Amino acid sequence: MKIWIYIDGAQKGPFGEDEILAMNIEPSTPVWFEGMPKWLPAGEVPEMAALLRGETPSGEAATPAVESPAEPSADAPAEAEATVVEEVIVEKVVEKPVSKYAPGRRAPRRSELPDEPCPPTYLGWSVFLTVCCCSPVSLASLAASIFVTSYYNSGKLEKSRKASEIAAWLIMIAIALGFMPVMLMSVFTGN
Amino acid sequence: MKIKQLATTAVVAAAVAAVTAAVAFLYYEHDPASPVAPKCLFRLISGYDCPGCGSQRALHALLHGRLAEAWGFNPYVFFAAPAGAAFVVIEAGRARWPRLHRAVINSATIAAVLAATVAWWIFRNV
Repeated sequence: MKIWIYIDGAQKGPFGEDEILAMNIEPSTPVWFEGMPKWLPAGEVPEMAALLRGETPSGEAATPAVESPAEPSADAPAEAEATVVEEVIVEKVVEKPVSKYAPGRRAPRRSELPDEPCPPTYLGWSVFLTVCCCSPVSLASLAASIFVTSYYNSGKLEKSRKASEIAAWLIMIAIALGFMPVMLMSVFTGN
Repeated sequence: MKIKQLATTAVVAAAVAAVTAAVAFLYYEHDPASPVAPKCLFRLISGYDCPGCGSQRALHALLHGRLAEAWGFNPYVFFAAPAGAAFVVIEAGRARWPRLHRAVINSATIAAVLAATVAWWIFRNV
């Protein structure tokens, strides 16, 4: 297991379990490893707590952070520290998308995931398709894009994802409809 | 990860091929009114122009150096095509330029684009 920690004002890692044991990890030290939806104080992650007590963590791919979500008002100093590392966290999440979209996971609420990036809006595709393919449908996908960002901003991550999917589908429909007349013409005129 | 990279490469390759084919078609196909030229489904059905109608003729004219004629066919293309390309690049490079992405891809931008497009759509049909 590769573990990243945030200590002495900087993000450090990846460390192995042995290295983590040798380090001065407080229960309030933010930690992150593959499978966690976000950084949490070590004391709130059962696997880390077990590790710090000197037990060997089970190799289970369980996601304790998701099963026991952090209380929003849990640990004031840790919260403050988490705000400081926000930029670092965003980068981390961007380069580890697989941990967010892994199958079989409960979709986390926005309140649990302040660093979850906004789902794709496909704005560029929509704009491009207003020019070359079926414009009315690509306008609909533009409208869906607005829902992606506005739902995301109001914290409705699940609806935002849904809107993002709809936008993607509308774009594909627009492409299909854009090319359909070509095919029909070819059939009817024998060209 | 590996599959995702492959998929991204495939999509980019397909897009480049499609754009190249479209440009070549527009350049060599001298009559955008020919039966095999792509037609707008909305226009075929309703008889009204969609926001993108005329873009094919405009690009054809542009490729042959007739700028004023191209503008006459569809001025919207001159804004939407570069903007669309820029948005695609910004969205694709989200991990590389997170700040730029956040500044550009937001509700206000999308709403402005949608409003402008709908306004142009109405304007050209009245």
